[in-house]
Amino acid sequence: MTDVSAATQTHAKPRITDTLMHFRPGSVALQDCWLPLSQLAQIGRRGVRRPMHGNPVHLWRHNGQLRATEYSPKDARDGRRTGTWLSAGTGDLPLVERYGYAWVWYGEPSHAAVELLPNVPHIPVEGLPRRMQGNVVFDCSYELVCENLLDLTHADYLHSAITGDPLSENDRISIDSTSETVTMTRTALGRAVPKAQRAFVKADKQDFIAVTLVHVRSGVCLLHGDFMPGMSVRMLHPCNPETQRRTRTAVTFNVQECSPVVRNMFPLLSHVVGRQDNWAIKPQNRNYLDGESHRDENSRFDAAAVRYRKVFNDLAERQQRGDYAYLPDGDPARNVSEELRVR
Amino acid sequence: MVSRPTTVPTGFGTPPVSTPTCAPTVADAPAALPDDVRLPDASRLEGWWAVAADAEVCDGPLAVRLAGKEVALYRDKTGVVRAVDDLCPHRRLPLSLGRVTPDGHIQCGYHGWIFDGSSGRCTAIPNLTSEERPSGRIRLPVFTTASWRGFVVVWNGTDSAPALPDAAMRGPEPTFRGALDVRAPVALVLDALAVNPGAALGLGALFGGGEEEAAVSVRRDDRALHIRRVRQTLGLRRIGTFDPFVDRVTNATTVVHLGTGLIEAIAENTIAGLTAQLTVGVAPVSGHRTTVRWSLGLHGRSASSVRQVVAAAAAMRKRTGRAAATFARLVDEVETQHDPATDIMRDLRSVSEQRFTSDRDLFEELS
Repeated sequence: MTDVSAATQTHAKPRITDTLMHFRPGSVALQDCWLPLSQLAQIGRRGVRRPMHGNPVHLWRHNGQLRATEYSPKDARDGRRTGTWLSAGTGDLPLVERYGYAWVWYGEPSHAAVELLPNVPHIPVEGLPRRMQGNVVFDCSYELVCENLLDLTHADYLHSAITGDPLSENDRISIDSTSETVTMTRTALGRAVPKAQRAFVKADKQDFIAVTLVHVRSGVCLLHGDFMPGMSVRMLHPCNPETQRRTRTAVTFNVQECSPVVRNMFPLLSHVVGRQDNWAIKPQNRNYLDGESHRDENSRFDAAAVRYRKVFNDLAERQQRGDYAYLPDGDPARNVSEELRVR
Repeated sequence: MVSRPTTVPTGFGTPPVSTPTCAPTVADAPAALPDDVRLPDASRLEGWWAVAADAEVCDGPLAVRLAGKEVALYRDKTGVVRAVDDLCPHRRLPLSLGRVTPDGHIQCGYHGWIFDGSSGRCTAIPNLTSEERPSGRIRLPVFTTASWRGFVVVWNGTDSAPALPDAAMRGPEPTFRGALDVRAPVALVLDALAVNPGAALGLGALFGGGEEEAAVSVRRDDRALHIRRVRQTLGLRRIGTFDPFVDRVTNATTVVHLGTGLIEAIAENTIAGLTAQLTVGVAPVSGHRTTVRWSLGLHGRSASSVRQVVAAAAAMRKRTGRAAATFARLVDEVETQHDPATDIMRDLRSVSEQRFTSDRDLFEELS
């Protein structure tokens, strides 16, 4: 665990923060995880610049080979190669290509292992075409975006046209967690078909099962929204922590049980939904960063967010003690198809 | 009836002389302020503050910043304005981004939690079953509010709210309003308004904005200062030692309600024979920024046409930034100037601060 503000100011290994008394999004950076910084389709010869926890990373191609470096391609040409503790001073960061993403290791480079890449059962290993991808930038820390995804009751207010209103005959939420992940499953039966789906769904009511699986260390979220009758929305939704006030979600949509037109058009919704979420989480982030430390109130619908905070704090405390290892129940590469209810 | 000036010694070794007629008249004041009146100063911004005009609080919630704290205002179904902490205790979204429900409560726009603005109680959480109720532990901090001569006033002190002062003026409700943001602490803004409200708000033609033509008369009662001034109507710059071009003067009385951000001023037989009534409400946005809201009532035969001219001039001054600049310049002048009214206000602030400090020390000693 590192102090983010210190990490952004110096190139020395950041100091370990004091004990976490309160959950304060944006104040710590959990180490030793793979971050899917960019979709491969975005990275051309000139490359892209994607910070991770405030540390600039340049993703670029050299002689057809993908590289992740702390120095820019121009610096490389000019012979000015610099590096920090993230690359053990070399400037070259550990990198893996999978599911159509460039995954970069955030943490001690010697700890990087391909076996620690998260398993994503609903996206092909080679990735999906660019038209099924989106890039949404949120003005908040990545913890708030993860909480937003775990806490789907907000969708009834912010995204009611797409996901439906809060009225249903039966609404249940179940939570499951390991030392590294939190999984929330919401089952809402007998909901009115939302406006946006009425053209495709010939029924008055539908059942809705939403699963969100969050890898707490990296902010990588796997989502599956199953509307019955209706479509099945499967998403790889990374929440890449760029700074305390900015999170980039480089999303891939794999929409099933719908026409090809809907499947190809669906990613365009990402900015509609993203804008609605950003309306709420931008001022929320300011209040968490600048406000006084006080406990948030919770209802039974917040169980997933409360569990997320607990897993996050436990991880932070372990890393504070110098323990960066993954526990046996927290293997990120385990098969999560059943948890996600992906058939 | 005007009493004869008393004889006072002017200094050691000199014979006593009569008080010169140009000296200010300060009537005998009560020895101390009432217990519940505490004047705000730079370090403590507690009081009754005018945070909005009544008309500004309409259908949806309104966000205001009061003494560095975010406050959401809204009108409940009975028409009463409620003021609550602009921070949902659930996930800290500003409640001002939400809406007012048909039953007159404020609802957060993120997860839909609903709060009663009078008690701060959470009345509903969406998706709960009909048998479930929100925990009674969930509370939203609320502020005491009131309506005072067309302003929404909020009490932000830690103690219970003292009674609001009675308005000194009577008559029809004012019809013309203005507001400006001044980059100055609230205490200095109040001082500037006590010294020259006409010049501060660009209403010199009605309340006098120029040099003083006679001694100031100040009377203090329990909760207010009554200041009577005779000023040249227009604040025109004199050329050298020549007389001013315009010789007209205006008599105006200003009432400063102590412990609040409320000031009233009245000028009778002013321009075109009108009676002008001014109500000013100030609120500290932060330690160094203050919002000034004012409303003007004009009574007399040509009130309508004068009101239009004043409205156009005020709009122009605000648009060009002159309104705030003029006010800020006046604040700078007042800070170093001696005036019987501001001297009293500064003394009272000092007394109030001492009492607050001794109360705090006593509290710490007891606890």
